[in-house]
This record gives sequence, structure tokens and C-alpha cells, in this order.
Amino acid sequence: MGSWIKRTLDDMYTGFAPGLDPDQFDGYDLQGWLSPQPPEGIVTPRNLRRLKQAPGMLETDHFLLNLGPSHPAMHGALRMIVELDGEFCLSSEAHVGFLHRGIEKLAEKNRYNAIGTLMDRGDYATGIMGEWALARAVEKLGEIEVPQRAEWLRTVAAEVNRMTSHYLWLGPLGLDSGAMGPFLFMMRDREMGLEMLEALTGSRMMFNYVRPGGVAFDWNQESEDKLLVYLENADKYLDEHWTVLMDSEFFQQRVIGVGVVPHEMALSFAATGFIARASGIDWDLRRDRPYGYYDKLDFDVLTLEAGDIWARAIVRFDEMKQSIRMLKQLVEMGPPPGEFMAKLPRVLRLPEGEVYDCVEGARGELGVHLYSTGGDTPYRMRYRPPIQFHLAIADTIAPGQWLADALLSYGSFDFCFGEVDR
Amino acid sequence: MNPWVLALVSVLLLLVIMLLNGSMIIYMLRKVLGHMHLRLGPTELGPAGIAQLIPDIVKLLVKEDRHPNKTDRWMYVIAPILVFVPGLMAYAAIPFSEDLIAADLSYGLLMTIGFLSIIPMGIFAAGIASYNKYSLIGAMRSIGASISYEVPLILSAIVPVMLAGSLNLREIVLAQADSIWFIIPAFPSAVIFFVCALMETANVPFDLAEAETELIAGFSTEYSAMRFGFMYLTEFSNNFIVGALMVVLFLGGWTLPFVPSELIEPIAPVIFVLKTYIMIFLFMTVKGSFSRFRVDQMAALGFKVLVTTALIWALIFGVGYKIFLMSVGGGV
Repeated sequence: MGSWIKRTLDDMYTGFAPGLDPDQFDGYDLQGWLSPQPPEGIVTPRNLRRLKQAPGMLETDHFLLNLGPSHPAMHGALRMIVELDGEFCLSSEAHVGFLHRGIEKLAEKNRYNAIGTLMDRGDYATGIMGEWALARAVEKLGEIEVPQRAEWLRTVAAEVNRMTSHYLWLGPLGLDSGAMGPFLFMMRDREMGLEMLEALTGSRMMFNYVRPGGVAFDWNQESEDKLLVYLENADKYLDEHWTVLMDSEFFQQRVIGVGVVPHEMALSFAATGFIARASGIDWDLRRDRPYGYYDKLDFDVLTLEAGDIWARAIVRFDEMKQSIRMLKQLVEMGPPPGEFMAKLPRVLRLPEGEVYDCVEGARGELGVHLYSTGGDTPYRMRYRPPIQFHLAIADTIAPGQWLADALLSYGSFDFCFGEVDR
Repeated sequence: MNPWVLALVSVLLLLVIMLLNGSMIIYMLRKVLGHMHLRLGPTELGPAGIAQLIPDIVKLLVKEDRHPNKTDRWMYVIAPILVFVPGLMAYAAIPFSEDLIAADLSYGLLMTIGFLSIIPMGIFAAGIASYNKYSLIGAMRSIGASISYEVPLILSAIVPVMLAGSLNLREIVLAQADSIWFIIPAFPSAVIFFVCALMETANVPFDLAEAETELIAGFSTEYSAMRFGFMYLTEFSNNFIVGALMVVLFLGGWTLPFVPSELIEPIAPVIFVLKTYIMIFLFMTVKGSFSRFRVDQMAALGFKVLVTTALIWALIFGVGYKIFLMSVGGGV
């Protein structure tokens, strides 16, 4: 998996700028950063085999098991080849690319306003975040002033979308561990969030709501009513999820101490978002590099040291509570008066230049790198998917676990393959 | 009457009971789990969707019976029979009422548990013969589960046997009718038996052999049509057998406390079946609530906790009961 990341990065930087001779430019040295050797303390296939070949241990045959791309435990089109000794996972190799649609290439042929629809199809569980990252990059390069009303609307939509995405993670995590009930409970709550988003944006998944310069539609009464109904019930339902899933000892014994991502590993593999926060990296873009309406909101960021699935679940559970808190504050403030879209020409043309900007997506730092040579389409666009980096971690920690645990820990990284394969 | 005809009639009756049970439990599971999961379950065909069973069974009957390549053909064909026939035989000794028993054997309890323990062999054969790695893992898990629950299952059934002084299921019930339900003196045994029953029926905390999200369908991945139907049906009808064993051993069979036996006699089978279905309902609520165990966690639970507890409890109870009998002057 590390090689895939290196390849996409090389592709991005070597021969990136027009007029640069690829033979002269030997790329950035990424070897040191993407260390091929996992950090100390991780059980690798090699030292595990040595362990098993020690005198007194029974030597047994290994076999390869192909999981996916269409397997009930795979959240998306991931193919994973694991080497098993009995039920013990010795090595694992993730194969990606089953959902590749060439989003980055398509972006080069589309005007800035039209790329938003492609971003929806990147991280399809949280479309708003991708659109927002793109809009921020475009606004930064074009020095476009965004009205406060648009920022408020973006923040509301993003927080509701973050919660719907988290439900879509916590429920299937329970499902992976064998608990079917919580999944359906969470689908009920997700439905309420999606209905609110539908009232606001007119769509349930492919929103195309956040546009460069503002948002597509103004705040309306129906979405306000639905948001209020959602907020009324969300706290109660979260307590219900805590009782049904998180507080169950059967669930806890499966997740505590399983799928541990050590602190150093999270740092060296460029983990962001909830993976980083569960491994003791206190970093949240909403707090540390505020954008949108977040600097006016009061919220906490939970950071845990353990790094196991349980820590991730707690971090995300707390994120959901904070989202409810933020939404309540936002509703109390009410949308600021003014326009919801900046005055922009019909065809947006950006000056020459290069820009990167990012938002705190539901899964981590979701960024967009734009390279413009002037004109109405970007020369290059690159999508920074948090999950691709997390997939490298998942691939590294899977060996040395039981098959059931390896699948559970894969699921706990919340993969969204629209984003990994793009 | 000719004993051969009698035997044939009782086997056919048991077959009908088994098929009815299997399909009723499938319907019940859908409804119970549906309501636990904020769904409704089947609603369209017939009252409350009960007629949904008919198209389901017809579908299993008319589907193509496929043999995947490279299977061990002989074992592949025989495995569903190895699952189905012991599942049917286990009904033989179950006392629906004082007279309504297909085979009133003096060692009925042992025979029922013995037949139940053949079923994992059939599952193992299915997994081995399928030539599929998922099936193989499921089959190995099934055997692993089988060796971890069977010992505590039998050890926890020993205490009611001590109290009744018989292995005959009818006499165990009659002994409870004379005194009290054995769940009161032998409560720890009942708890251990319940946990083992969950393992036996492969309900959710212990459904490792066919862990949906890991192994797709485990041992039955490569089976289709009625061969799959046989295994599926047996699995559900097993719920009834272990539920019935639980009712017989601990909950007084067809009897009710404080109700004279003359009143019960005409409706005894109804009471028995109702009690058994209450037990099945309990299994289902567990199935709808919890997460799955891991392989090593389940083995640890079976060997370290259940076997030890069952052994110690059987020892304490045996000694205590003997002392109690000697002190009241009975003596065994």
C-alpha cells in the first residue's frame, strides 16, 4: 500500500509543473518519510515466522485467502489477500483501484464550478467536505470573499454530514463484530440527518451544494424544522447507541486492545483525523486552523493515547456529541444576514498559481491541491484522501492478529473507496 | 399394532414436527429480530406475513442443485444427510407429554445429546468437501466450538439427573412434578446449560461457524437448493431440541406448578411446546443483542470457565445432595 501512495505522490510532483523536464527533476525524496520498515514493536510476518519456527513450536502450513472486492466485511471495493496460519493472520496485502474513475484527470477538463460534482463522488459518504475543500482552494487562489451566511450554511451542512457519516461507520463496526441491531438503530438516525440535508440541498448523497464563492441554496424553513427535530432526538439516540453497542461487554471484549496504532506509527504514516486523535496526536483542523464558522463555536477535541479500535470509537462518539453541541450553537446564532453567494462571473477564471487547502473531513484531513495556469479549468488537481494513508496503516497492523480481529480493525479505519481510488 | 408400522408412523410424525418447527422458527426469528431492530419483518403474504414461508420453501425446492467443481462429491452429497438425520433422530426421546414420546428410552438424555453432537461432524464434512477456504475455516470453527461446549453441556445436565435418579427424560419430568422444578436447586447448572445451548444452536455470541461478516456463510457457502435447505432447517430445528431439553431438565416439562395433573393432561403437549418456544424466544433476544465472540475467546470461555464451573458445581452439589439425603434418612 505504501508503494501506491508513493506512486501517486511521485505522479503528482514529478513533471507536475509545465515546462519542467522530467529527466532533470528526480522527484522529492519520499523514501525517508514513507519508511518501508514499520516501527519497532509491530509484529511483521518475518519476525512472526521466526517466532513460530522456534524450537518447540508446531510448524503448520500457511494458506492464502482472498477477501473481496465483494465481501460482506469489506466496506467498499477493497481486495485484501491475507496469508493465514489456521486463523492467525501472517501477512496482508491490500489491492486498491476497483473504483477508479479518474476524478483527478476529469477535473482538468471541467470548469471550477463543475468539479464539485466530482468531489461528491470522491468521498461519497461526506460529499459536503470534499466540495468545501475544493471551494476553499479555489477561493484561496482566486482571492474570493465568501459571505458569512454562506460560511454558516456550510458549517451546518458539514456537521450534519459528519454525523451521518459517523453513523455509517459505528453501525457497520458493530455489524462486523456480530451485533446487527445497532446498525439498524443508526440507520434510523442517519435517515433523519439525510432528510435534513435533502431539504437543504435537494439531494441525499451527491449534494453539489458548496460552490466556489458560497453555497447553492439559501436556508429554508423546512430544513430548519428538520434540523430542530434531529437535534431534539440526537442526544437521546446517542445515549441509546451507547447502551446498545458501546456499553456492551461483548462488544468491548472484541475492540479493547485490538488493532492498535502506536503513536509513532500514526505520526510516520501521516495519520489525520480520528485515527491520529485516537493515537495521541492532538490535531483538529477545525480548532487549530479554523475555517468556516468554527472559530465562533465552542467545542472540545478529545484525544486518547490507546490507539485501539475502542479509542477510535470513543473519539468518534465524542465527535458526534460535539457536532450536536455545535449545531445547537449554530441554530441559536441563526444564519447571519446577507447573501449566500459571492458576486462572481458566470465562468470563473483563476490566476496562475498553486494552492493547497484542506478541511477536517469526517475521516481526516481532506485536501485539494490545485495548479492553475490561468483560464477556467485547473492544469492539475489532486485530491488528498486521508483514507489512503490510513489504509497503509491498516495493512501494516493486520499481521499478527486473528482473522476476525484483522477484519474488524480494517473496518475500524472507515474506508470509503470512492476516495481511495478516486 | 405391527411395531414396524408404528415406528414408520412415528418417524413420519417426527419429520412433520421437525419441518413445521424449522419453518416456524425461521418465521419467528424474522419477526422477533425485526421488531428488535426497528423493522417489521415479513408483512406482505398472509396474516402478519406468515405465508412468506411457503414461497421460501418452494424456492429452496425448485432451485438448481449445483455441484461446484473439485468438490469431494461423495462427502459433499452425504454431508447434508449427516446433518439432517441426527437432527431428526434427536426428536425421538423428547417427551411432549407423559404418553406422547416416540421412543421412551431409559437413556433418552444421553441419546439426544449424542445425536446433537453428530451434527458438527456433518458440518465438518460439508466444509471439507466444499473445496472452499471460507467453508474450511467455518468447519474448523464448528469443530472447535463443538469440543468446547459439549463437555460442560453434559456436566450441567448431570445435576438434574442426580436429582431425578434417571436418564429417562419422562422420568426427569415426573420427578419435577412430584417436587419442584430443578431450576431452583440447580440454578448454576441451568445457567451453564443455557450458555451451552446458545453455543449448540450457533446463536449470535457464538455463531463463529458461519460468521456472516467474516466467512460469508461459512460451511454452507457452496451449497444450494434443498441440500442447503436441509442444513438450514436442521440448524433452526435444533433450537427446538435444546429448548426442549432445557424445559425437560430444569423447567418441569409439560407440568405447571400448583396445577393438578388431571387439569394439565389434555393440554400437556401445548404447554410443553409453549414453554419450549419461550426458551427459543430467549435465544433470539440474545441473538439480536450481542456481539460475536472471537475463536480463542469462545474456547477460553468453554474450557476455562464453563467446564471448571460445571465440574466444581457438580461436585459440590453431589456431595451436598448425598449429605442431605443421608440426613433425612433416605440414602441412595
